[in-house]
Amino acid sequence: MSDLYRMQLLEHYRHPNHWGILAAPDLRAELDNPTCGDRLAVGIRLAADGQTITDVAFTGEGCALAIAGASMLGDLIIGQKLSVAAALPKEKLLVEMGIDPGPTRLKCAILALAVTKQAMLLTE
Amino acid sequence: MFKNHFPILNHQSDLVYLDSAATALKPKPVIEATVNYLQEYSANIHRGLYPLAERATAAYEGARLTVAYFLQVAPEEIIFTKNATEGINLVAESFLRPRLKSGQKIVVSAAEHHSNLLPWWRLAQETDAELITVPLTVDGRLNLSAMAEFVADGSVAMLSLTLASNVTGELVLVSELLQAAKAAGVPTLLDAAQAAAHVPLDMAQLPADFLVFSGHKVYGPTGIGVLFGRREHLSAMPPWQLGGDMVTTVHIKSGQLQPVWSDLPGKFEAGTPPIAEAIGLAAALTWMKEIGTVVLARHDAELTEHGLNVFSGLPGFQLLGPTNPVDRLPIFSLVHERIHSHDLASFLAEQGIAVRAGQHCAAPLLQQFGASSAIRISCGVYTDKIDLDAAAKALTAASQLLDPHV
Repeated sequence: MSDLYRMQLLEHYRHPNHWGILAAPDLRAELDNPTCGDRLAVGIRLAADGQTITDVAFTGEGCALAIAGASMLGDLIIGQKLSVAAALPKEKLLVEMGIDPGPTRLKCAILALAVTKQAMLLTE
Repeated sequence: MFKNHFPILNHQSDLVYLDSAATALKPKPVIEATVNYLQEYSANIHRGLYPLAERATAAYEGARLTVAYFLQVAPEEIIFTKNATEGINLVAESFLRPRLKSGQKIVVSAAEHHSNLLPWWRLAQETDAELITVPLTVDGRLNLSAMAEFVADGSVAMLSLTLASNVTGELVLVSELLQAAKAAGVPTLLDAAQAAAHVPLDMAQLPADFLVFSGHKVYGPTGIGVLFGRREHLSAMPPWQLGGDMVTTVHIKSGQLQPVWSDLPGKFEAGTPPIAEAIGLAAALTWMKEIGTVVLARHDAELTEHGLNVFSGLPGFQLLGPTNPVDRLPIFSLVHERIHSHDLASFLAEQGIAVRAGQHCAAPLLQQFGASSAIRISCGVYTDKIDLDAAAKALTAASQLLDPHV
């Protein structure tokens, strides 16, 4: 019925993984998408090596694409090295989400990726 | 109704276009008049001494006459602008800035589009004046009696308000307030960007000092707008933008430039104006007159009543704005308790239904409703009741799919 809102994406939207606030994150950032009022914050916890992502948590408010994107991005980057996560192309996340959101909704879909990259930049 | 007047609807017969408050589709006479200028006589105006230029000048000044007739005013009182926004900026900078004194008030409503807030806000910031954004009534309408109280207090330098809200669709009954402002010597501006496509604008009946609207919302091209100003104001105002065509000559005396400004309305039209667009706008207004205000009003009334019926009872949705059809235009903004408006709009887009979602350039208004964004369904002459039914059906399907609590 809908190409954008398929069952898998809706499942991540209704019950997002990695949703909440991490106590004492090693990295964190917050980002607005002012055109639609979406706002996501991210906290990232690193292993003792300072390089490996052990936990990610998102919080904030947003549309289904922004929230599902955060949930799926968390799945993708936990266990990855920071350098790998920081270089993650947006296309990889969109493939995971199974959508082609078009130019207007792209910002919603990759808001989680943008805020995550910002968190990495702030501390690198 | 009139769908066959719109080539875009012939090309995309399954398009359900419900975003006319953002921009109206263009009927064939508008496209033909614009293309005709571009293909047959696309010369510059006012200066050329050859027949093509004379024809272009006649068409451009003829467009001004058409607009003047549309508003029932003199052609010298019609300034062509880029859009309604530019008209408001012109009035803020050229009319109000030179006369505004520290401590005076500029009064607007909380329902205004950002274009009728920010030019006044900046002016107030820079001159130590006070911008008063009058809150809405509890049922979300412009508080005209509160605005009237401000107007009477003797310290208001400008009153600027919308004739119809681009979000709630409220049609604002401004006559009494305008009379009160006139009696108190408070200059007034009406933002008719939304109203112009829906209600007759007779400036003999509307005692406002200024009025603005955009061509593209009244079935005309983008890039053309109208500022109406009373002659006594426009004559006294300094030019805003400077350049060609707004100056008759520039003398040089003792090494100093001494420009001689053009008479009205040229003084406010610097540079080559949007000629094709002005001609297209005139074609749009003429086409609207041919359809007739009675037919347009009846069509609007039917759509408004039908829209209120189908949208006010949608489970999970709140319909913003007046509930009595006579108080509003067929512009319907809906807020869902749990679903983001962009998700709703994307879902509708997949069904071929074009609507707007977000804050509609009226963030203060949505804040008053406690909403962060809304989905907006807005109608034009080509809108039929079945289009509204299609939107209501799609919204119901969207809420079943997207509501996280279902």
